[in-house]
Amino acid sequence: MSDTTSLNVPELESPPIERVELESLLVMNIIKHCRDSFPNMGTIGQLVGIDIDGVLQVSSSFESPSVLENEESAVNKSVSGKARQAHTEAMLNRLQYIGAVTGHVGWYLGAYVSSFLSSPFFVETQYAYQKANPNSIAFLYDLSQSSNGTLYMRAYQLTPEFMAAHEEKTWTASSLNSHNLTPSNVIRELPIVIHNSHLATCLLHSLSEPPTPASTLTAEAALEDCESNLPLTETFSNFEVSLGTRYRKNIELLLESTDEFHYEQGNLGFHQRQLAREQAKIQQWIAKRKAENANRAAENLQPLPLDDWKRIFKLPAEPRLLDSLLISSQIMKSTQIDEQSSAFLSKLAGVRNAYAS
Amino acid sequence: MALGTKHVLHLTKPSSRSSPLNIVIEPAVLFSILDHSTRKSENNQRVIGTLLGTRSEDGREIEIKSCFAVPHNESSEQVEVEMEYHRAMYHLHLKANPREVVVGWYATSPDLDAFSALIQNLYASPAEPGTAPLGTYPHPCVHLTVNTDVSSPLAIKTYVSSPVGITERLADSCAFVPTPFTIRDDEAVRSGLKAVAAPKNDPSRLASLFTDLQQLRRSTLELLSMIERVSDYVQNVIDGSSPANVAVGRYLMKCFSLIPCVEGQDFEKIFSSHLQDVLVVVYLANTLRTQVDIASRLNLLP
Repeated sequence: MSDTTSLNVPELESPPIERVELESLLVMNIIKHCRDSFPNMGTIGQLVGIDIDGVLQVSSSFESPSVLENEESAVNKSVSGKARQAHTEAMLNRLQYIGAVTGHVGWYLGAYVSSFLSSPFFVETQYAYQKANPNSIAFLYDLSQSSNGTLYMRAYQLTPEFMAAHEEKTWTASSLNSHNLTPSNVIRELPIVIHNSHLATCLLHSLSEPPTPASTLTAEAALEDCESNLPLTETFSNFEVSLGTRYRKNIELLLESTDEFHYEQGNLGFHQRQLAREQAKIQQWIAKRKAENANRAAENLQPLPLDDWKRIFKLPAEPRLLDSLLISSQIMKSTQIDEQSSAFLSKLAGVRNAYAS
Repeated sequence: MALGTKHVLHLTKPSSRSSPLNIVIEPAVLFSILDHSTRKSENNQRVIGTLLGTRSEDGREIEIKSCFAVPHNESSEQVEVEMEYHRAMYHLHLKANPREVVVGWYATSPDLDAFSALIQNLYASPAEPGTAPLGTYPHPCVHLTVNTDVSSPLAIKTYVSSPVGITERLADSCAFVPTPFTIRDDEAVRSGLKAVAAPKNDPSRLASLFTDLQQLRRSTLELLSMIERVSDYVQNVIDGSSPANVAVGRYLMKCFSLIPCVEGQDFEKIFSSHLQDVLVVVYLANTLRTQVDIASRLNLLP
């Protein structure tokens, strides 16, 4: 008999995440992966980091396979969950071997911000992650939104309300009501903070040009400045006043989501009409049965049971509202463009003032 | 007296056909190397790793897209590289990125010594018969050095190699030929670098992601400082305190010629058209949001 006793020590629950801290390496890795896969959206990778007192420090990431190997029929199909899991475990083992942080803290997705929630893929995947580790997060990177000089990266978690409703898996109106689940509280966004190591800071300084003071601006320095193409040289791409690049795809996807929403509403309307018809028939049948029972009572006969309608009539099953909920949530997310439009209006006002002067 | 073949010095200039003319480095690679450098063991002067990427058909252009660390041990007498780890890691990488192949290796030291030559030849050598290629053969092997020594500036250099020296010592001798490189620069990379560069002057090295408006404000301030700088220079030239330069004058003229010349009426028309576009989008978005909100609430009525 072994002289060591195994104890089931309960794991200390870490507090919920309040903030996400990203290393510059992670940001650049995600951008590289998603850009290389563009325009194929749905690029997936894994996040590695550590959770300390409500701050999730995400230090690195690695790409996940997107198609099955050696299977012609499976080309362009998503890899099975098991294969992806095996790849993730193997990668984490390798990272551990070289002394890197190996806490698996979530996943990232390269997708359009106006369509990532429409299909259940995002919530199903994130549900699996959050079930295993409640502090897991999902990153969304939208390359099309990042093309005007401002990085579009967001960190999301499913809300406790959604997690509880998903546990039940009924997705009926009564279920959503009981969990107080609305399109606006399917996911919650977490604030993102960028953190750099000392060496990364040195690299960033070497990638940006030091501004030459006006007094020492020689001809050579001026020409060098004009010709330098360091990645951190300002190109003023965010002064772009054309709507097309930023909004066109978003509006297309928004209108697609609206069509899907109307389709879901149509299904719901059809169900309600069917239900109303069936209930009218039931009421008619009950009224008829009551009249029959009145006649039977007059003849001193036993009344017939009133709940026989349950055998005769079949009420249509209540529709699942998950798709409708997700599409609504997606539309709510896509229509929050106040910040973008205010920046755009500021640019227009600036152009007008510059022209006037 | 004629020299025996054993004493002949073999010098091979890298052929222009095989050596790359240009190397493009993904910024993520540099950040990854620096991250690896922070986990350097005390007995090693540097860390090394494998560079992965793509080559153009003629092999003249190499894009270094990603990399991974390879454990190694270095002493004054010998160097051991864990090629088994390299093999396993490369196969894992291929599953996620089948298009990326080994293009070379990196080290976090600017020194090029006999061990560098050994590792270079290890990466450039052909695979054993019947095994998958793990090196760059028959293509040139790129060696990327990043100087992470805090006492000197962070310097990045790329090399290709050519065998040099006495025939039986070819394994640990080669001439490293510096090769030009550029850092990948496109809108996606720029937006990422701008975001991660936000805390570079902050002692805490922490900063929140910028919103569109904050980014616009920063760019506007930078533009104003540039205009001020040029304005001061021009004023100094006019005053005679700075010498005039024709080339700078041409550059400035070129800049001014890019300013569009639009009539007042046309400008107002363009302006109001743009403004209406934005307002229509905002109106559409708000209407949709309200409609969806109402519909969702109605759906949940018992």
